[in-house]
Amino acid sequence: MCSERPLLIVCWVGLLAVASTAASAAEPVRLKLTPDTCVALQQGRQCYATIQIDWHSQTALDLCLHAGSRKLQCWQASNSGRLRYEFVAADNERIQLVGTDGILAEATIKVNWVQKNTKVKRHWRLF
Amino acid sequence: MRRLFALFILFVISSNCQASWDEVEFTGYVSVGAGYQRAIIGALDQSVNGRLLLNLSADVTYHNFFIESDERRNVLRYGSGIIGYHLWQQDDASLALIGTGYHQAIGPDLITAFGSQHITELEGLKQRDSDFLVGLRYQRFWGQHYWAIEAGQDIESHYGQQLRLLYSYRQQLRNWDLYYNAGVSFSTAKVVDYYYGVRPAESLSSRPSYQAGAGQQLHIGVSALYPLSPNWLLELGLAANLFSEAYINSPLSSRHSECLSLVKFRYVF
Repeated sequence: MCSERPLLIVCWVGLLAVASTAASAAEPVRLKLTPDTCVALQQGRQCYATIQIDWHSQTALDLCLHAGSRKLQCWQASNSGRLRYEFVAADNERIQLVGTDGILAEATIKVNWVQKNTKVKRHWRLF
Repeated sequence: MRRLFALFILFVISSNCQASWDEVEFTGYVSVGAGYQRAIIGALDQSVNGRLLLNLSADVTYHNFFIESDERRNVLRYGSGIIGYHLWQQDDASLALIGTGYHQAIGPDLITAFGSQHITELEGLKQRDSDFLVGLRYQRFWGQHYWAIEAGQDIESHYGQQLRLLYSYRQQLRNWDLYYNAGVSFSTAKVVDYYYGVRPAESLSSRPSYQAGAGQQLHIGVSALYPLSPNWLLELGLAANLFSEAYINSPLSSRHSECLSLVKFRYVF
């Protein structure tokens, strides 16, 4: 019984090493938006925010950052990148990192508001 | 009591219009903030300065009936809402029957959100209650411009009349809303004398008796709104009132003008 223990430990260590290697190979590109939300006073109104976009990858990549259908910036053979993005939109916007093989990571800038549009026209009160 | 009665009448008129509950719009607010005031009656400064300002208000519309929270386009109207009924309205103009308070109470004992407050400088004065004017308001928008004319008769304290003209321009600056406001008001002698007159029984050596005539006020101000989150607003206000001689000749008046600055955080629900 006791003699089996070292073998078991070696097996567990081996399994963990294999799992770790597999994880790093499939390590996704990390994309972070700060902040990831923009708040406007009324629904439908343009929302303004300065968003810091950071990305990081274990391996050097050629990729481009897209906001909706617009290309914001491209990097070549880079592990990370940072961009200050002046967001102006009335609706949510998808931010995507696109590499040679397609979309590597994506995130959404969410637009919230304090006052919802209502079916009754209300021009008179704005808080 | 008369205010509640006026509210009830407006609600009954409105509910008789067979409006469905789908037409009810309600937005409630709780705001907390602080302000700095230099009032025309200097002794009243302490009712705002160094105090936490709490306010519970709402915007409600139900068919033609409405309640408006305190006026963004007139900072010195802080804390007083408007109830009303739209007699006629289009997308850019409206004529409404309204009820609102224009003047706050003046006296040695004032009721605040935190209980009563005693002001020793005003001892010997009879209490002047806040007013509640019922009248008409016509307002019109074009683009970011707004103007309104209001005329009302008090039914609560002085029974005088007041006419107000108000202009406001809204500037949208990124996520901010900035309001540049100007207004002028004309008050009958009944109004000015009720608040700023000194009856013989109230007079002292330092406070001679005084009978006021009709007066005018010029109002200028800026207010700003910024959305902090879907439920929280930051609200800033800065305003000044300039007074005519009927006000500034009063022995109660310490200054020719008054100003108020406010910082508030408003929770929207």
